[in-house]
Amino acid sequence: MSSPTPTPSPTPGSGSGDTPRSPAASRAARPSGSSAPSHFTDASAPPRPSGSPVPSADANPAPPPGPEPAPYSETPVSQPTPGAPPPDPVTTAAVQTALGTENAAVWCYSLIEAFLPEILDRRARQDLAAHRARRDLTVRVLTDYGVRPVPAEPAYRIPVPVTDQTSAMRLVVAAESDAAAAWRSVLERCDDPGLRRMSLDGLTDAAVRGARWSEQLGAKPVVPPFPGRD
Amino acid sequence: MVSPECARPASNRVIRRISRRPVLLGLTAIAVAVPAGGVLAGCGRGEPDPLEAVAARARSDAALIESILAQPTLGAALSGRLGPVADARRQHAVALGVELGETSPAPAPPPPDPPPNQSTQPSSGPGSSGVSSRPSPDDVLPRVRTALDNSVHQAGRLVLTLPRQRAALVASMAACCAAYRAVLE
Repeated sequence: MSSPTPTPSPTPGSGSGDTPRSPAASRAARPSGSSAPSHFTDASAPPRPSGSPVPSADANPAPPPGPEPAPYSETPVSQPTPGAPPPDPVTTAAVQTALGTENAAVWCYSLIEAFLPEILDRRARQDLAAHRARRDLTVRVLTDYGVRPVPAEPAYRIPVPVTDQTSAMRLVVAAESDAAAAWRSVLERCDDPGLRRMSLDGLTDAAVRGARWSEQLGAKPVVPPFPGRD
Repeated sequence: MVSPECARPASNRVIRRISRRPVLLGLTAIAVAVPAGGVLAGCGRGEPDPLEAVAARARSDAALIESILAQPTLGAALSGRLGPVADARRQHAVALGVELGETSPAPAPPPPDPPPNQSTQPSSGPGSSGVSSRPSPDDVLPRVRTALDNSVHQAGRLVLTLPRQRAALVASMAACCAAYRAVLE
């Protein structure tokens, strides 16, 4: 409906902005300034002031029900230990970076819907919902820390344009890889067991989703030996 | 991929001239002490390093899968699915060995776990007349999944308490095991 259309960096003649047509982007620093790797960077523009800036998944009509892919049981929600001392700025920056990758993943999954057949689209919507949940949790955690969460960007520059099913799946594999790296980076920068559990969940869930999409792509190996590191 | 690194302490930028003898003696002491005593603190005297159990699990997982892969009747499809898991677990064991300061990069794996509840002799399957039966995914995958589940749980507990770098390393391994567990459904 009124959801913002992802408009990666402008390309002459790219009519409606629904398909990403941005040129391959060089890796750039994350907006939050931490050092997690990324396949994406915000395409432009000052960040939106508030609210959920990602394209709505409901913009497309809901597909009819089909065979359910084996659902991966997302790890139960875990949060930082209540009453734990507020983390230092290094930890906070890492969490902000993780939030940035979750925002980017939400955007990517919203983007690829049009390119997937029904059964894969159902999986993509499940994964989108999981990223939204983790994004919201991360926003709450940062707010509880007294830190203003980084807002989502209106659009992200992506490594390769999405033009078909294969490039769509490659995009979300890259998004999951970025999320895994960001959550691993939080683990390298925090001590609170609750935040560690949350980060482990974020890393694990990203690795699992990435493995399923990699398997669909026929990539080998479907799982890197050290998700988030390589 | 860029691996985020923990902030390293800033090097001392004040350059001073130091006589060579204390430096050489110090380096020698470190070279002797590090392999002997473990790389990191946190390994109390007499207490096993918690990573040793993680490394043992990685080796036993690899050995289990290798024993399955060694079955001549295993189909190519199953081999293709399980081979990368064994590779990953071997890499985990090596990385943990480095962390533990082991001098041997690839310690000898323990004998493979006997299959807990599966018939052990594929060539003596019921009703087979000298033709060995091909293990089906239903025969072997549950064993691998169970092993990976146990590794995920073991690693997940340790991640909460290990030093930061080690926690991240073990978390990556747990995530790898969980991901393989998921795609081996």
